[in-house]
Amino acid sequence: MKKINFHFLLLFLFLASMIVSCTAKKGETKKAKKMAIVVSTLNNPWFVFLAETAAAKAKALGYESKIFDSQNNTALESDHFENILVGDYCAILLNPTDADGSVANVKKAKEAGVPVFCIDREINAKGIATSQILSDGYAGSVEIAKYFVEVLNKKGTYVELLGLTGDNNTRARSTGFHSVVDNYSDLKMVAQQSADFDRNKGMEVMESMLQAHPDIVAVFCGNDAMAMGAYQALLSAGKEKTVKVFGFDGAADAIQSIKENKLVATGMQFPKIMAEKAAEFADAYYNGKRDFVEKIPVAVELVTAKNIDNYTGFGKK
Amino acid sequence: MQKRILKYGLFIGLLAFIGYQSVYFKKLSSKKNSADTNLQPADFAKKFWETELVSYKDSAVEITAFLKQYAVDPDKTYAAYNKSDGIGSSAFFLLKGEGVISEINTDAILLQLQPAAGAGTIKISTGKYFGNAIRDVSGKIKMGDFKNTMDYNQVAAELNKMVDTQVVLPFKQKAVKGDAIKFIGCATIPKGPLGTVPLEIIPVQLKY
Repeated sequence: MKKINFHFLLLFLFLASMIVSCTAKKGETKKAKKMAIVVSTLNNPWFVFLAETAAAKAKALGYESKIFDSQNNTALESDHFENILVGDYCAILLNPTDADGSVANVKKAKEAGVPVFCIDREINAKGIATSQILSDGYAGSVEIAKYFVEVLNKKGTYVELLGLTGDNNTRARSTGFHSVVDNYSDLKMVAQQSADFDRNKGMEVMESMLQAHPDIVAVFCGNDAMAMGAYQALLSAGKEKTVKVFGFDGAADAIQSIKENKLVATGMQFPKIMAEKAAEFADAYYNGKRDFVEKIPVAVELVTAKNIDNYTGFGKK
Repeated sequence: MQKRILKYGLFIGLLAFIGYQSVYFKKLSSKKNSADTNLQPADFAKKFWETELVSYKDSAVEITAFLKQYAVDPDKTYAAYNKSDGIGSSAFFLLKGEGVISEINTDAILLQLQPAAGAGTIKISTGKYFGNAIRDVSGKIKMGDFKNTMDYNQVAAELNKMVDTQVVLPFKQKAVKGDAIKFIGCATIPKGPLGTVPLEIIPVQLKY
């Protein structure tokens, strides 16, 4: 009898251990209420706003947070992830540096059981990030392009300043823009160059473009920082009245510039909505939710002198 | 006896550890998704146009009833019929109806809605369309279905081409003022009450 009981006990222990093994998800130990906010760069007010909004929302939800600046460098982003994954963070809110280059970092976090919520920029992978809350840059650029065609009356030569070449937003904005503008044969792009989403580079690239193409009538920039840099170059060359500048982002200085008739238009991206939603998702994950929509597009709205009164820097009034 | 328990205990622990490290379960859908890396937007759009569109056209809401309902309760009507894959202050609606062409312009026709008198006028776009309405109005194509958003955007561009070549161009060649036509199409409507300008429809079907 004793022997039967002993074997029964062994069988029970064995089954219990197997059930525990099967139901426990790998790496899912309860972590501290601490979020890591990793942004591609803090050298652009738009991303500073994105990071600080996420931190403020995390705090409001009862979490500590720390902001990490990747300085547009995937190696540095990787170092941040190494530190974060040994730092007992419960979630990572990531603005990726590179759509392909950041995939390995997100994968590493997933394997360590730390959910990653991408903000604004996507990674080129499915099933790795818990959710990606992304600006619909393509549709936003389509709207800007339609206005571009209208303002230029369907003719003239123009140049384009691209963002970081590895970022999908760069492609989405440029492709969306050209999906419209390229249908008008009298609108001719005479130069296209990357200025890395950077204001100073935007100014430098615009200066050299103006030397090679002094007769341009417009410039489309992949973000507002480059648009502000381009405007500065046009101002120095005395061409600020003849060359129309179009940006993308909805940064505070760009909104002010549209009010002052310096910039013609921008695309409002709503960083506040994206950053807050990411922090809310991370909180929901911490509290047990697991079924997140993998990619959520956030609409971009055209901002011009006609509707500028509805907007403020980084959002709607 | 205690030694024996310890021996069995260690053995079971080892077995459980090996089992835990060796076996894991994954959803079949996630496995399928990770393999979905060679999507061709043009093929995807063509297949969608030829097979899925037929069924989603049936879900279009009759426009005069929709407009009446919207005038009474914009928020409720917006929530009930909008097709949106994301966060934004406007959404797409799939509408159908019939009317008489009252004006023909380069990029649009004006349609006097029938049969109700005073049902109003709408605009059917006949210019090139560049947005996402056709892709998103079915509610069946989601951003998360694609590895990167460029493919997702390309699907919209391909569907727009089909509207242009298969719906708009053949229609434009024979449209005459006074013709009675039936339409199914997408409207983009911002949240809140409708404005005074005629609602613009991007057609997916135009029939005499």
